[in-house]
Amino acid sequence: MRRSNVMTLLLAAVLVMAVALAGCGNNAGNSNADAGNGGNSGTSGNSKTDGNTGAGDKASGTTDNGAAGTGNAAATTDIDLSKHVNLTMYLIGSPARDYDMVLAELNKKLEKDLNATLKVNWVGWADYGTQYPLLLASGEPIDLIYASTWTNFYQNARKGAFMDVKDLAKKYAPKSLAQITPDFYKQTELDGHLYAIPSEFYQYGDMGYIVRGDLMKKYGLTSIDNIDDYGKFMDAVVKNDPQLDPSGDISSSGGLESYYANSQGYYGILSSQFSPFYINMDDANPKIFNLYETDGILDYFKKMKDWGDKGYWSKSILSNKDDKMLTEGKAASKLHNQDSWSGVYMEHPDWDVQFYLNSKYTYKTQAMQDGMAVPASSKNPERALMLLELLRTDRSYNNLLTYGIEGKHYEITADNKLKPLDLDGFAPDGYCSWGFKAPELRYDVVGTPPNNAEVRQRLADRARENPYALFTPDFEPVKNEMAAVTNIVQQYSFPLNYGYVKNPEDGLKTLQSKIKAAGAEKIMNEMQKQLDAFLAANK
Amino acid sequence: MNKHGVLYELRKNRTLFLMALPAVLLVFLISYIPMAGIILAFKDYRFDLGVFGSHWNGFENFKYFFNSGTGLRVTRNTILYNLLNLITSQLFAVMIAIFIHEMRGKYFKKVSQSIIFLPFFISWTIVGVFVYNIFNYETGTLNSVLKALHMAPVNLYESPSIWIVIICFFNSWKWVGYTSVIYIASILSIDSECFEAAEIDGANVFQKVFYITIPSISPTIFIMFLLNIGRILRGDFQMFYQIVGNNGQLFDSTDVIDTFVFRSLLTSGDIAMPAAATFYQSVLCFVIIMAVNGFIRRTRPDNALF
Amino acid sequence: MENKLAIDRKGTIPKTEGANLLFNLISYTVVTVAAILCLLPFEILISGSFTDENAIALHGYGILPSKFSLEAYRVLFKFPEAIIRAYGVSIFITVVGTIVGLFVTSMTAYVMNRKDFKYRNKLAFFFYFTTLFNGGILSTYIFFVKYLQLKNDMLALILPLLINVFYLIVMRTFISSIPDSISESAKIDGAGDFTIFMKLILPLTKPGLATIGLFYALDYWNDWYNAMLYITDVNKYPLQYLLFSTLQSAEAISRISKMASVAAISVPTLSLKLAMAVIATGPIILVYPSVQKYFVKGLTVGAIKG
Repeated sequence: MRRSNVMTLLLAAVLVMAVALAGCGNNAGNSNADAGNGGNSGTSGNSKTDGNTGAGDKASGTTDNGAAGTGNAAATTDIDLSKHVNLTMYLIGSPARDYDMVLAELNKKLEKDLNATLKVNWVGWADYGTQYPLLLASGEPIDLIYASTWTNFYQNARKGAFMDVKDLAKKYAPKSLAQITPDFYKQTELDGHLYAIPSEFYQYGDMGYIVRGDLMKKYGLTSIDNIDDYGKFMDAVVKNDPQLDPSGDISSSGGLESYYANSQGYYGILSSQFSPFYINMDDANPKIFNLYETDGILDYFKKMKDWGDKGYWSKSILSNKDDKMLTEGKAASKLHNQDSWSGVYMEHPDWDVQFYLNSKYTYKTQAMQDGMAVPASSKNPERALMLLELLRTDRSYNNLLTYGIEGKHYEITADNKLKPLDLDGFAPDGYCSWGFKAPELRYDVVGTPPNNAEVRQRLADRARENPYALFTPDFEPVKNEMAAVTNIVQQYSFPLNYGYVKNPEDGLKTLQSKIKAAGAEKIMNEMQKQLDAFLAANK
Repeated sequence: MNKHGVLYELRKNRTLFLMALPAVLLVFLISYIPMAGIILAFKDYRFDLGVFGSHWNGFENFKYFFNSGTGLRVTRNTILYNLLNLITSQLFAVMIAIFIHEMRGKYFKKVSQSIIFLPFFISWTIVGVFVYNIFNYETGTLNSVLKALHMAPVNLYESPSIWIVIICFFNSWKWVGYTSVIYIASILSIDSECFEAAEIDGANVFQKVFYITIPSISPTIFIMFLLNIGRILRGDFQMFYQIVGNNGQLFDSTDVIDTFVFRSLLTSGDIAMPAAATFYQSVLCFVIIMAVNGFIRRTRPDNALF
Repeated sequence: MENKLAIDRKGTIPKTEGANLLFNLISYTVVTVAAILCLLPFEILISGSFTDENAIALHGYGILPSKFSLEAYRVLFKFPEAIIRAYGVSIFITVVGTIVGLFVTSMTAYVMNRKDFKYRNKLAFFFYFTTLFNGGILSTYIFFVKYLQLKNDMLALILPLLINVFYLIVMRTFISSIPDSISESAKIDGAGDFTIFMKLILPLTKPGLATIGLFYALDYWNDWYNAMLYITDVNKYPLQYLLFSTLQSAEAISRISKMASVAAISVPTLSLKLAMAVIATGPIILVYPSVQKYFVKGLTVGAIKG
């Protein structure tokens, strides 16, 4: 009896608390802001009442900054910097050995120019998947964060993770705003809001085969043009260099599945990880299909079974976390893009590392391949944007975070190339400076592969305009199904891709039925609807 | 009996109240306040609106968990693993305790007990290293030994069911030393006259064990089971995560609620759906405890948890 | 006890000697095998950390190093700052967390044990409830980071483990073994509750304090999970998380090698991971023999009463 009373009491307490906290949510947020940053109020994410709060309100709300209080944002051009602020930026990866040194250098300048100090926090490659949603959800005051399609930029933006910087940028980052080309702008924009500033840098994110040229020569191979050529290469490695792993960290690129799909001219229309939904790029009126229901897939899985048995990759590849096996001299090849290739090449010029393309078509990367966003939790969006402006347009700032300290980490050669002096201390472009890449500030680096330009040209030549670059699917109506499919893919398709399933036929059947049960039809129907609407609107 | 009110109590025992206050405040802070966050399970979470500002969406978040039978699978796995782990580790612990207790060699007794106790001190991270170190296909010790003996190497990652044994083994490995110490203590508390009388009657050691030791320690065994029943729905996240990691091919037989929640967060980036799964776990856990405790209170009131 | 003495006199008793011999044979075999299984993973780990990198790639980790090499340790100690710093963090949180946790736990346990404290059962349930129901990692995370602002703060590593309800219950069992008359007579002599606790109770529960203290110390030392959630600053990683991140991604290893100015190509990644694990476990193995006896003693006392 008494116990149940206690129970009721406790449950009641919890409920009361929930209600009480709900009621004072705004206050809590605001008092937080006050505590965190004295005087600077009104920017707390909580003060928004819905996702569509006009950015104009935001701007006027945020500019009454500090004692001077330049209340009218639109009317004044002078920017109040009287109050010192601490900015926090989140990047992905881990810092260089000398990053603190570089940051101290940057802060000296920043102190003078913006009356601000920058602190950089890192989210490791191992756990950005968990950290991103937690960081954004926690409301921890973050002023700038690296944003990309692969950190779920669009999904997070839809859920209100970032601030709309459209109007703020007009005042605080005008040059950067002007730099965004119309097509990039359109790609980044979401329902009329600009939630990030994409780095204006065209890339060909096409994945290819990065293989050691010295080994190719040794085995008498001349080129790798498709998956089977790659198989021949791996076979030669197994036979001649058993101490090397033929494919290294093949699992970090999800195995050869996307290579297979791309070589067929398929395109992962949902640009979401672990999604088996593709369209055929040769089709003018594309229908979304499930890769695991296509004709060639069984033969592909059978091939993978065969290759897995032959030891083309580790039997414990799914537990392998080492993504540097090629540079460490433990593997003979790697699956990745042109940038990775030139990185490996620079570290080991003697290997004559080569890069071969695989896809049927090459596309320019999407705008939000790289960019920087201001999270909704930021207390200093103005200063954050001003910093971003400096990083994107001021060479001295950009150089610091991209290349390190001149004279210590790099020097500029007579022919205006960049020569790294201390790769261990600070390697060029190695520390998530991609979010504020500026093409006109970039240097060619001494020691890049001699045919780098040639490969890039080759990519440029075959590159096509991606007609679906502006298509940003909204997963909200099917998020449960998407999550379930993701789980199924991880569980049933990965083993097939590495040939771990004894009988690929049965394995594929299980995979197909599980995906169907998880709601593949519903996803495809919904996405097809969105895609058709997109096509109709962009005719 | 005590008809005095709260105020009277407060005045009379104010020091005691003050002494309990730090812990009460701490637990309130760390455990109770975050409980308000369970409402997340029923919200369409938006980053800018926060936990309390987001709109309600009923049981929408639970759909994903129960889609395609995942929820049932992980619930089943969690319960089965915990039962299996509980039974094996207690069984081994009782065995080791009895054996060690009956040993005459003092030195051997001490050393072996120390060694068996050692794993209790080791973190799951290190156990994760062990697993990789021993079982990975290319360089694992198991296969090195097999190869040295000219036997075919085995790929354990291909056979998910083996991992039930591996997980069970490491669970026992870590806990048996600790649990056996408790059982040894419980055996030591048996009246030595019982054993002496039995010996005079000519009982051999098997008979002593089966007719005296085991019946005497059965209340302890019962209590140990009870204490662990409370955790029946809480997979030891650290153990599963460190041993299995994100190895998809093993999920069917190794996924428990906690690892599933963690992975959903990792892959979906959505925080409301994992919250729904956590809520489901808490409720189920609560129901089970209440049922078990109610049952015990009726049958063996002395052993009830509360 | 008497009724448990009902030895079946009609059973086959005579072969007492033979049966005892058989029992000894079984018990020594089982205990020896168990002890070997407990030690083997450590042996394999240590051996692997001393094996030459190429030898591992070709022959795998053996039970003994196929080719002895100190390279992994050489790389680690070339730039030991990261490890030393992690040691510092781990030692700091372990010492502070254990002392504070132990103090608060025992003080609360004492209050819960005082018969004249009217709300002691309600207090017990207040604590016990948190083991059944919790808000999940997400709401705890949001509360810690947003409202308490503990990101990258040592407090985020200390607070979550500061009060363990299970230890609280065990501690209450310890204290309940002290006769109530001690508190009562001191009270009559005019001593305050806090004084009684500090001067009389604490000294009498030394084995209990040692046991629970070690529990806490182990929890803190072996924790990586809270660091994973709350610590993003590499300079604030505790040891276990540093180890975990080394295992999780090559990036942490390449950082270590860059700090040590060793070219990536000559970094012995396979043995380095194991060497890191050895370094993280080392102190426990070293401290273990000296603390184990208190631990066993404390557990024994606790179990007899419990």
